[in-house]
Amino acid sequence: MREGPLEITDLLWHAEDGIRSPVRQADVVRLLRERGQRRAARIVAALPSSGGDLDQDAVDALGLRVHRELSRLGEELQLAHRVAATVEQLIARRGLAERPVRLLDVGCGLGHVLRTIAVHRLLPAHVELVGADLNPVLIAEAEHLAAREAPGVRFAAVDAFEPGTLVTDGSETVVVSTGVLHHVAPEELATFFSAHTALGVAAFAHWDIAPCRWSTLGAWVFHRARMREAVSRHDGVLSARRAHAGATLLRAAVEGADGYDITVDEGGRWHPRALDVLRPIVGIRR
Amino acid sequence: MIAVFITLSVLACLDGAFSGFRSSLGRSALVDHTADDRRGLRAGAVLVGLLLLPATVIAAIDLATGGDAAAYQRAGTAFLLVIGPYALLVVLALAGYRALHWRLRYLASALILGPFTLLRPCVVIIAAIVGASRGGDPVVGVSGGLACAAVLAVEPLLDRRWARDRAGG
Repeated sequence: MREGPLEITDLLWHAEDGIRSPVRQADVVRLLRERGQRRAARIVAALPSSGGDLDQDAVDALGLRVHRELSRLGEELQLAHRVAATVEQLIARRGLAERPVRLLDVGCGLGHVLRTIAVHRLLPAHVELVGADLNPVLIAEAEHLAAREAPGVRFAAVDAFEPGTLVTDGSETVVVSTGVLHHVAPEELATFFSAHTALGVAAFAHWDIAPCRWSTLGAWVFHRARMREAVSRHDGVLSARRAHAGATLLRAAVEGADGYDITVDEGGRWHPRALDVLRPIVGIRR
Repeated sequence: MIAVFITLSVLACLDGAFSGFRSSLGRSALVDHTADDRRGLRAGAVLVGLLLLPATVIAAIDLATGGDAAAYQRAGTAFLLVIGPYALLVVLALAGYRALHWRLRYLASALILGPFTLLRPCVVIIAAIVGASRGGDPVVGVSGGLACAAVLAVEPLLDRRWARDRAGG
């Protein structure tokens, strides 16, 4: 588990080998208090529980509400457009413009980015859209929404980096994520990036918040203005605070993703590019 | 007087509709949420109309029984002077959000729409205080205060309705 402050949503759901286990409410509350997160502890203490365990149905419903709010925020941040524009460049640079390509969104949540790309046809038809998330409740909802408006998009509740599951031909796969990297502990980042090398993917691009005072302030403003769930507001601001610096990401990616040219596209600490509140770390196979 | 009343009514209706829109945001995660948006806009406009009734009735009775029409004119004009620039910037930002290229669209949210949503209650309350002060008539102040409370209540009430509907399945 990461050191420092924790996001509530990371603590409410636990599964091992695909089997979900109960989460003791008191354990989560104590952990948050130990980290000095009294407000977060109060939020968790107020969640429904049964016999000392967090009520799984209530947690699932909360997870869906939080991710619906996140989807709308992602729309305002133009995440799908950002992803599509970069992926289109990566496909061209790898000479995949005429070949079938799989775009794999890791930690896709409700799959809003992929569904937006499909609905607005932001990428050519030869790009297959596949989303993966470890949370089956989110994936079930993503599938339900895709059935309504983007039937071509596929979702799976699996570990996307497990060889042979979703990446069958790495040379024709581009891996992306949005807002996932800050959930990975700094010491685990190199392992995260090394998965791309292991699978031999053509390219990757992972968007996350560029940490600085402006993004923390912006996250606070936007989560106060747009989010209703206390969990969303808490975790949203914390995401900005604990996002990895560009240099940290670059170091980890260079160490882990052997064989890739890697760049982090961001501005300076005090003068971030106003348009790039979420910036990608991009790797393209040499 | 009539021009001020009509302008205030249009602004209140727009604000109510936008409050309803904001309350409907992030409820479904659908990419095409046009139907939800329209429902939200409609619910907000209708609700603000209902909530504004007490303020409107008080003002109408006051005016019908010899109240000071000039006080309403002064209060309304002062209110508009405070709220006008805010409303104009919001409308421009919304137009920008619709019209700009996606790379620039985010700026409308980051610079205006997001922060202004947070500032909105303060701006409305300041406008109400300035309006009441300029009006110089207690009944005008009460009517203006009720109108502002009505406008600010729309989004929380609609949020509560969402929560109630959710709890009811």
